[in-house]
Amino acid sequence: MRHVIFRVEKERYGLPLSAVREVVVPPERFTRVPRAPPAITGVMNLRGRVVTVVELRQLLGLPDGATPPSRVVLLDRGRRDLGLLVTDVDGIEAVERVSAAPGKLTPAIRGVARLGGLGVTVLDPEGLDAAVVALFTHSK
Amino acid sequence: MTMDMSRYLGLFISEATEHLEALGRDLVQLEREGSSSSVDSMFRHAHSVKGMASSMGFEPIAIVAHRVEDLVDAVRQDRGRLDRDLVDLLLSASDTLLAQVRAVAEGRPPDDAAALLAQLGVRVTAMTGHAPTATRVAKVTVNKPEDPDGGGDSGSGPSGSGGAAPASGSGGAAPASGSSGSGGAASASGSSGNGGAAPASGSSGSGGAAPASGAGTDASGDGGAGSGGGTPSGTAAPSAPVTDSTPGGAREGDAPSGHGSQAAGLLDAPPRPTVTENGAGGVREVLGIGAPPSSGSGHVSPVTPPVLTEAQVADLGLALKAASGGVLPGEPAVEGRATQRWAVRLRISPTCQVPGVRAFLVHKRLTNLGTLVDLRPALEELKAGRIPDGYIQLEIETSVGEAGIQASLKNVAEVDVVSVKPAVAVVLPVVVPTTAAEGGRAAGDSSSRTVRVRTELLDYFLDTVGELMLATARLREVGKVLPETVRPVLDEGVYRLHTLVKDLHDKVMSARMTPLSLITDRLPRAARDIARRKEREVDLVITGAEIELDRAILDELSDPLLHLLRNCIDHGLESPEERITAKKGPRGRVLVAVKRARDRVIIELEDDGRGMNPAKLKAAAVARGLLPPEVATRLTDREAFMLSCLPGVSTAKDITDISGRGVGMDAVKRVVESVGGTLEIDSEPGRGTRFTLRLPLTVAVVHLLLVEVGDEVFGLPIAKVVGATEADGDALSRSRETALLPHGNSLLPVHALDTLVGVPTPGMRGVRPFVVMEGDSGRVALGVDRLLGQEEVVLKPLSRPLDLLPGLSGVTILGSGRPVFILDVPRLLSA
Amino acid sequence: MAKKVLVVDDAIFMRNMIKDIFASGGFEVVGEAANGLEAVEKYKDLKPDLTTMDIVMPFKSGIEATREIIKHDSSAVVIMCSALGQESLVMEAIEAGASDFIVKPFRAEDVLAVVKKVLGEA
Repeated sequence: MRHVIFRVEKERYGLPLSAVREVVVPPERFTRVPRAPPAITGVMNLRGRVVTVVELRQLLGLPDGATPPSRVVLLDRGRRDLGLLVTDVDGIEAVERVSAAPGKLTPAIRGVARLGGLGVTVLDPEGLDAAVVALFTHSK
Repeated sequence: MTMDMSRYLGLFISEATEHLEALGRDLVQLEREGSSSSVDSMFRHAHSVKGMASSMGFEPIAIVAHRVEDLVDAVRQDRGRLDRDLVDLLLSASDTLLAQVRAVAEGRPPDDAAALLAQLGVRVTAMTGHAPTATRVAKVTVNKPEDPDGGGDSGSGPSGSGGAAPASGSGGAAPASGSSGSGGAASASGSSGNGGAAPASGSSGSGGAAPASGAGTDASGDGGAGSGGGTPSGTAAPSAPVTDSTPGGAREGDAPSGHGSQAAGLLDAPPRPTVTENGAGGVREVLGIGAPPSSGSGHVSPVTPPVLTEAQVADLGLALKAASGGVLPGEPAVEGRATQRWAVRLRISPTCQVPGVRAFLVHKRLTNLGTLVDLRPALEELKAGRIPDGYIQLEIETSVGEAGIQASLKNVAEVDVVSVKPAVAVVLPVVVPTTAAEGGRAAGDSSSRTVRVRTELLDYFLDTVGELMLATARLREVGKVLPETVRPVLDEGVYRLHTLVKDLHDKVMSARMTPLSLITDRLPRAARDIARRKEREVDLVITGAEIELDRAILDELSDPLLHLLRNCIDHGLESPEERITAKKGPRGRVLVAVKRARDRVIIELEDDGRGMNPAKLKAAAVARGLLPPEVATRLTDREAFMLSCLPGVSTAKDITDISGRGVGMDAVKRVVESVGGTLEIDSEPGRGTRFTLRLPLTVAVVHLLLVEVGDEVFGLPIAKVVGATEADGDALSRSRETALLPHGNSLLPVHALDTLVGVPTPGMRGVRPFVVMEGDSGRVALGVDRLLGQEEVVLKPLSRPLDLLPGLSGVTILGSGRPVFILDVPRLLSA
Repeated sequence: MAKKVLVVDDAIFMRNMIKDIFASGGFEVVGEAANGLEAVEKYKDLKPDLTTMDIVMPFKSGIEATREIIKHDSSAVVIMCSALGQESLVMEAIEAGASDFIVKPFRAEDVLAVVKKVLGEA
């Protein structure tokens, strides 16, 4: 299945192409969201749609890194206008054979695969949705 | 025709035992930690046991499990309902269930647990507001060593009397009895080894390890193999916006009688309204107007040229993909052939157990073919299962022809197509003004030729016009940096564009205007049902229903109006006897008057009942800690009436099944305000109550006061702003932690907006502006950094996950392209 | 050729019963799943002619699973297994693309009648 491959720092991640609407450059500034959990970077205007942008690093609980995020991966989630802030996007690759991820089990991660000899963490679109919603519902 | 169930007995015993033990564990855990996952899994356990027991024909087990399911469901909706007594009751129910299963395992009939059922029934009624519904149990033959029929009347099955009991129906269809030689009774049937099941002692849950529901097949690898990326969208799922509230329980005839201790009749009682997911989903549906239906396949995003975006498309491949998905939302899949209107008559089989769902399925199939222009009974009636004799009539505009209509219904069970005939043909796809070319023919009725346009199309127009406005504003911004030599030319073009777009916007808005009768037409029927249930007599008078409002507002108002009507009849009107004692006529009167006042529409709902008691409302609000007593005493009566809109405050002693549906007065107020309207309540003891809704004609535009806090800009609805003033924040007097701002002749509590919205800024010292606003319990002052002025903006509803945040009523995009949140200050303060 | 069926329910008891009903009607049950997550995976693997789907299940509800299956294969035939009182959930599932539904407790001939009708065999 074809996946969009992107990075948080050096770490590579993949999402099924069918789950991605498009990839855009983040705006100069985001509008911050009142009372939102810290992982929410803010909202941006995408051709008249208001898109909520989440920093993937924080969503997955990864440590802070040096490289500023340079892309927003917009998910194709029906009415949920959701974008993931990532370090960079590498391209589209066919990913086969996803095996269970060792160690941590968050619903956002579907498993791991190998791509050109390197590991890719394959994300689960539904799991990401759930993780974002959980951020909002647990913060209260 | 029955199946031999005996070969499932072993499996039933082991699996039901597992579920019940897990239920006990969850219960204890829930009481200790209150985690939501355990409520959900408790619900699943009870639900599974009910399903299995009813399939096995073990009626006493099924009924107890059903009651437990009801109670857990109620807890799932409101965790506050779980008290020690309830936990005790549920634990004893799960013990009883285990004992019943054990009895079955030993070949004895399960105890009917009448005393426990009575207790459960009382609790269900108290928590859900309606009597427990009957439990459907299969008529089953279980060839056990000893027939359980000896004691109870377990296998009695659905008997006739009244309701639509599933009669044998269907001409002697395929017999299904045991294909493989059943033989042995209690074999645990292998498949996946669900270890250590064995009917354990039970006593009170805990103890036993036994993992809940096994089947450890474990999700295998990817497997997606060939399946390419973009699934072809095919049918773009048009599905008209669903606006109704599904008054589910309000079935005709059969009242759910006994507490089910013996549940003699076992008819299908009125369906239990499952408010849980429905409630939220319904609201979202309404809010999401304009967006493609969430279920829609494929990527339907309206495609606009990516010229003016501040965020450029980065990856060409992805951009192409997005573009190729550019189907107009809701556009029929079939094109080319002429659209024709057909009159279709159908009948839902009288043996159908859930005619409402059946009818909904038919509706869904047909909306995939084209536009339903006339549907009787109306959709909400259909969904509630109110279909006289099962007959449904409709007219549909479609290009698939009679054969296509027949084909789409051919494979729906329990539905007969009675007839499909051509109806009066109206073939115009969109609104077309009468042109000169048609002058001769149109002479007679040139004033109004109307054509029905699908709501989604109207929503799409509005969205697109909104984007056009944005694009225009953006162009103007860009023009500002151009050299003087070229700028006038661009400005002129932009000005012309702006005028055209504005005009187009007006036209689109007027095309969206819809008469209120669309929603008031259902009120008389609802009034009758409510009145009958409450043994009230009521005359409902509706005036001004021809007045028009924007379709989006109308859709939002449907539930609030129904709720207010219920409120009037349920709580406002007295019983005929009381009325006579009070020297009123026995019949109550509810007046719904719609008026137009300049740019507003006013809806008044007025009853001549007992009126509201301001003192009681104040006491209730104080008792719930929503209001300090000293503030309560100062409230005027009118302000006190508004307390009924605070969550949890209600003078009604009983929450009936009609009012207890998640749409409280607080929701009514919120919806009215979210469309830019206001709600007022007036009441006089003994004389009646009047609710006044003042609504804008269109939802699109709201007036905001824009304020700046740090780097952020927020919008405050002008309707809620009383005024603004400047003061030295450091010099204000304080009461405990709260600063107080003198305003008029009172002191208002001060809140710093930056901390309120959780976006703290270094903060301005010294003199700063304060905005005075109406709150739920009096006025408040908000400290801000700067007032930026007023603006009219197009309001956008919040999409998930933003709608989960308290205190936001919407979002808008300013001319600069910057998204700005509109704050719901009362909720910010209370959340 | 016998039509292929995928049976989704979190209770083994229910799965076995449904499997037997299908076997008696001449269908081939090619797989079963105990939750919504598994259902979607199995569907993609097995490409059955028909899927029966319980609504209340752990990890992922039958409605979500149906939505995903339909998104993956818009011609998928998914039949919801519901109980009385779940009307609004079934309607949600229909919105999500479910083809039809059956009501618990099941009677073999009702189930087969609905299924055959949906598959155009009756």
